[in-house]
Amino acid sequence: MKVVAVFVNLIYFLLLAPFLEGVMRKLTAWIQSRKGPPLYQPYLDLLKLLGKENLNSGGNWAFRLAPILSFSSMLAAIALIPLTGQANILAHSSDLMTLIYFLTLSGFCLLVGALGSGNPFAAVGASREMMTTVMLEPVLAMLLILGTVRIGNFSLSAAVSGVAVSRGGSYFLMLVVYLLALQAFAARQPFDIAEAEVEILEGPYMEYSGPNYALLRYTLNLKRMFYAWLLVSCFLSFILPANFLFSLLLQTVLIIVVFVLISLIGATHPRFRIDQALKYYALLLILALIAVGLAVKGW
Amino acid sequence: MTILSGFWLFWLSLLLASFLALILKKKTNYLRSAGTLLLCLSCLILILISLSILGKGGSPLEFEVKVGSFHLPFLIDGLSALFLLLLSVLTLASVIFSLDFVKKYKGDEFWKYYLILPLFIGGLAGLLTVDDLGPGFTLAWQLMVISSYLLIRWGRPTKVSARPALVYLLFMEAAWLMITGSAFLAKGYIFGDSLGTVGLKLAQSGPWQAILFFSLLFLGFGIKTGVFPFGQWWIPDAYSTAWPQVSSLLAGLLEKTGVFGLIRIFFFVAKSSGAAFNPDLWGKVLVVAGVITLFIGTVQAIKQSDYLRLLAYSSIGQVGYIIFALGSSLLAWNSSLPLAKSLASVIFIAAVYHSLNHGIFKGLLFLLGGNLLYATGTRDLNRLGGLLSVMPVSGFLAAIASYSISGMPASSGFVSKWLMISSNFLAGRDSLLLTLSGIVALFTAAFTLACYVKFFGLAFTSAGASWKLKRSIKEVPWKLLASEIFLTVICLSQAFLPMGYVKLIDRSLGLSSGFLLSEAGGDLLSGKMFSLKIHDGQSLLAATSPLLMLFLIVLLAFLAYWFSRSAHPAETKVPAWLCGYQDLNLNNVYADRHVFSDLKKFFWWTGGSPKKVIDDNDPTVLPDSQPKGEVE
Repeated sequence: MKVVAVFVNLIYFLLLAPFLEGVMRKLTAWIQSRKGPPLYQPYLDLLKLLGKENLNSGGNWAFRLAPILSFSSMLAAIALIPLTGQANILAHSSDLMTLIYFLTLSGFCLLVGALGSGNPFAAVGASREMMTTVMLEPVLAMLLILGTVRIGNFSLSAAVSGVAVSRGGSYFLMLVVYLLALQAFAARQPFDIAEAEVEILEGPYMEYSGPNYALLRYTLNLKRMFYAWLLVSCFLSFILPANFLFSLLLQTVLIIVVFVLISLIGATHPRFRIDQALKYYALLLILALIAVGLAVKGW
Repeated sequence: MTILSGFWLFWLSLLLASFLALILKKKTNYLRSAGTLLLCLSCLILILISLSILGKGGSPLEFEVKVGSFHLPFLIDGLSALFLLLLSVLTLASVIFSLDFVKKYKGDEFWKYYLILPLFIGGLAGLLTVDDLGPGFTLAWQLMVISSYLLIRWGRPTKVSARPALVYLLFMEAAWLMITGSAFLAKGYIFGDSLGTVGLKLAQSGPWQAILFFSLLFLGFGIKTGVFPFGQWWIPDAYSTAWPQVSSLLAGLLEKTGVFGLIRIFFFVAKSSGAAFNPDLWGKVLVVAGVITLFIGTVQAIKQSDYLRLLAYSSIGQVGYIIFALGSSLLAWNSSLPLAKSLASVIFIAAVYHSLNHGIFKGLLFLLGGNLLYATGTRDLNRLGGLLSVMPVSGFLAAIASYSISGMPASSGFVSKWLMISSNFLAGRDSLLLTLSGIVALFTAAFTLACYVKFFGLAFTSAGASWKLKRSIKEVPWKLLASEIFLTVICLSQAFLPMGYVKLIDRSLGLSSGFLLSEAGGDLLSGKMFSLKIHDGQSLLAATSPLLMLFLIVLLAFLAYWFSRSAHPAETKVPAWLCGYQDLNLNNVYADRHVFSDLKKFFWWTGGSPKKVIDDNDPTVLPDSQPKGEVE
């Protein structure tokens, strides 16, 4: 059963992630008074991209390997998670640091690929993406450490369930921080600074095409879904029922609600400049630090 | 052959190497082979000595040498043997690297290098083996300082090297004064007492003397390891001035002898001095100093355009991690929670593990910096780019080294940081200081990543070195690469055999008598060869397995590969697309000074802004002996 759970994780995320992008596109279109593509459009896009030509502007192995490794380390992170609060077989040899570093690795591969393409626009995007990672990854880490501090266990399932174990000051402060950081985690407006289509032409993705691009898009979808899942299972774990199927169902509904939220904010906000965003992230960092401090003191 | 005679043989071959350099002088080829052979021989002897002490049935070696009226106490226990092992491995790599490197750079003057290098190695080995703060320490320290001063001085044209070398010398002498002077605070101290005796005598001195004693030693060894702000004053200049293979020893080992000194003082002398040592106070001092050092050092590293300075600043940051872990270990040991008390030794092992890891990958990175210098002649990241296609082997090794130092999954840096950070959070559950400094340490890990993405990305991927330098760039000779492959293999073993190294460190601590944490209690750390686990009774607190992580990523990468190639797409090589109007050329490259510019601005208050990068072939720094004004 614990082995099957790993596959359930992977299949659940792989199947649902493009659909959520469809939700996001549809909603954005409605807000902008357009009809919008059908909900299954992202699946078709992926299939179409798989059949296209791979263009290689870098001419080195770093450029070619990057999308594959970015995708696989994102999946590796997903394989570890306790989907409905139950730890799976991988929990015996991983913990929350493994998860954080798998997520970082996924972003890191994208950066190396972008720099490997030799395109200066991609390099600008990579530089921005790295700055975002530097400032945002600690917020994610602090969320999980909050759970660790509460329970006194470094494992991932303890960290995830520990956040909502008692709902005091630190819980609510961390919830506020996470909601404020959500757009940035999802790389949507006002924080799609690294891609910024009209400004630097999709930045790190610029030189990628065909199947390589399909992998990177898929990775982005998985990443967004992961952060939505984390919000639901860290902060709302106490409302999820014990039954696996019901729990999964309710989780899916809640994840879709989170995506509605992301699309609403995304469609109605202009983009920040990177220097403005850095100040915003610094504020989040300080608030998250205070939240962890409160948790250490038992509040 | 006894261990003691091996030790003398080691010194003999070092001195012989130095002596031959004096005789052979201009016969460069003989000089190179003889020097290399003798240095390698002495490294091998040193490896044998360390292994026979650490191996089965080994025991610490203690002896005294009489020089005139002075007694010099020597002690090679488990901890010394471990650091001697690191020394010999790094020296082997550095010596093999120099074989071809010196040929290109120093003309027929390099006999001076072979004259001094053995003395430098001897000084380092001496520091790791002497067991006093008096004459023996002074001898070893001065040998190390003066020889490394000369090596730094000769690393670049005098105009740029004179000042950094002098600053280095002054700081080291100040540190020496503090360290040897501190022992006089112990009541009834006689110049030349062994460390254990100093501790016992300190126990009978007043409380203020004890605090002053530990402060002076903390400052002295702190200067040597590069604690903020001392590190910033000498490390970046010194490391970027010396030859890369010397910097590799400076960063890989010279800094670690400072860590070794701190360990000797705060975990050995502290024990024998009993109540005179206040673990709470010194734990806090080390944690705060470590956290400030690791944060400031790493943020400053991001700002550098000179890749040797970047590596130097980042080694300040990495040493900060080690000092932080040492302090956190003291605090955990002093804690009232039984779990924290038994985690203290885990955090300590993490500190030693990180010292070994950092020694290897920073040594490797400096050698790779040497590759770049050898192949391109510039130390400016702004002028590099796209070297991956012309220097594939160097690029691959640099990728592994950068990956390891960033502590990414399934790397040696990950293992030691995991040990350090997970046990720090578990032990410091109720301590605001430990939790918050653990978070800063995690936060800084992301900066380290940014730093090495920049280093690797701008030198090896990206584009442009051939236009910017207007020369053809070739892969470096195989001897340079061989030494780096040797270090890379060790670096990988540190990643995938974590339990092996933990056992080695554990054994070395078992072979060191008078260790503060030896009675700290339970063995929480367990695991098979490939994995590590922290257990408290039945419950699993934290676990990691680099090999499994690698397996997971590779397996899923095959899945990704299969998925992305399922429609058999064609692949075409195209030029980078710049909106259709332009080609990729000199003016269209994203240079280093722009990378992370907003982040650099945001952290302006950390200081360490980059200096103008001056290369050795720049006309303004060529030696004065060059003919002047004869152009007409």
